[in-house]
Amino acid sequence: MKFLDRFFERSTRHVASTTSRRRFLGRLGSFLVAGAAMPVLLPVDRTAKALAAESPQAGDPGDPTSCDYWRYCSVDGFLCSCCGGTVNSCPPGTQGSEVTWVGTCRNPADGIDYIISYNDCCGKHSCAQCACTRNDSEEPMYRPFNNNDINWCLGADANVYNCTVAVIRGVAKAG
Amino acid sequence: MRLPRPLCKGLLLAAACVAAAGTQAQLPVEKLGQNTTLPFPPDPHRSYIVDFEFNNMVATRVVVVDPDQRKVLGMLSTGGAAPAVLSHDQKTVYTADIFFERYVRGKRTDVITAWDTSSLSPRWEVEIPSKRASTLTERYGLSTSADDRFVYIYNFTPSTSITVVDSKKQEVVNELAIPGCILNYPAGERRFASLCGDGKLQVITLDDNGQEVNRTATRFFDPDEEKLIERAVGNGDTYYFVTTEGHVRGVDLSGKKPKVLPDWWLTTKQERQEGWAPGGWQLMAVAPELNRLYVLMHPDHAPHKWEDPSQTIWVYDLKTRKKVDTMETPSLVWSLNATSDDKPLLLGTNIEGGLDIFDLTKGEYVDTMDGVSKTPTLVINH
Repeated sequence: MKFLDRFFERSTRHVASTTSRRRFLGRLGSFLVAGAAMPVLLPVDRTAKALAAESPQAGDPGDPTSCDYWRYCSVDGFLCSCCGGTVNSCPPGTQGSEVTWVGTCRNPADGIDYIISYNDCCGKHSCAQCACTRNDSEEPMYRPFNNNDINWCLGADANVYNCTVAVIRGVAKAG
Repeated sequence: MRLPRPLCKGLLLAAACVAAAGTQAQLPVEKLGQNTTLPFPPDPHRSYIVDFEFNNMVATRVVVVDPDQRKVLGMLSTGGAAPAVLSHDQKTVYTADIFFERYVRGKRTDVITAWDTSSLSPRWEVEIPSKRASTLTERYGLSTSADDRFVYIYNFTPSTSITVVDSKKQEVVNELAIPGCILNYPAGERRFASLCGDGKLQVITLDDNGQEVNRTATRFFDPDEEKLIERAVGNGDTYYFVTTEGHVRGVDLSGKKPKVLPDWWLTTKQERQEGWAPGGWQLMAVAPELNRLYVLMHPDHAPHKWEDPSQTIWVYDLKTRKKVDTMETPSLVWSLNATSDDKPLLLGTNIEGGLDIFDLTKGEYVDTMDGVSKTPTLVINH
């Protein structure tokens, strides 16, 4: 789910910016152009930072509490790793919704494209930590399974959004 | 709280207090003001800011403001990031609320709440099927018929349908499946359109009991060739949609079948080459008395910027379909709406929760009401 994470991420960047708003927008634009052209590539190569943060695991480099982590290439929302959960499990007392949408992200450690599902964890209100947006090819709402302006807690007992996980579901086959 | 006399005695200022009491009339005893109301009819510039409250999304609000006085007039407490719409007779704000018995758990109850625009209190409510779409709030998730008889609620489960509430009977009278289609763009007294994933515009006509009497599907755009943003803007029964690249597609829904209007571009070929394209959330507004269209524009377009805020607004004459002006604002604005009077304002919600105000008679930015909301997705006007 995306909702207004964009708002927050960009607000934060705006506040942090020491240059004019126009230049802020310009830089943001450059970031997005890179993202659009290379949706499966990381903007920053963090391979060297392997074994960081929670559940360190060789071959799964990066910090799951950071928006730059490779699996978050299509994430939109609050990161469950910052909310009491992990990269692939919901925080205590929340329920993962099985209805979701998926993205494809390249692991910089092995160069393989993995299918990642961005399940929402539900049943408590907004975690409000680590808002992260790494957009891929979002479509208008008439293609709902490619749209993240929708609360994907649809499949949970209560459609109250808390945070989002990024679960490896398999390897994306070429072609 | 009252402590003037003891306080006077207890302080070295007692003499001064006595002197003051002797020379000035005491302030009269006051009564707590209750049941305050806003004037009716409402000022044409009164604005209702739909606050999504992203850091909560359970307890949400609509903030009512007077942009001329830069004053907050009151608010509505809504449930589950409720969409909101105003009745044409200016008497009612409808919100489609979701409540849970235990705040975030327990039995879910969806309701249409009919708020009085003067008392800002619920006048009536009706329980609706627990299917209301839970999305970032946008204009046509909730709408009313031109005569205010019917309220249309967009459902997403992910099956899509429209719940029809009869405001006279104050009850649900129908639920219409709209497979493959989304939202409800109202037209006239008994008709609404939905935008479909196959590129068609579906129009359903109701009778006076809210029952379907006709349904048409008209080719409108090619979804494999362009992304037509569903967040259109209406001017009477005419709606303007725009693609992420700036291609405008209008449709007149006043007849039995939709009349697709000639398409046009917001930009010249050169402007497109320079990188100009629209972007924002509710990124377009129409001031009907000026017959002008206002669009949030980006100077450095990229596909993924289609929902980004902007500081630049381009102005178009809807008759000539030509750009006639540009307005700039210091804030990053995300959603627009214009008032429908003959001295209209353009209102823009900015990404820091403020409301940017533009005087459209002068064609310029006037001021910002900072911090009147948290995460405003939408502003609506009578």
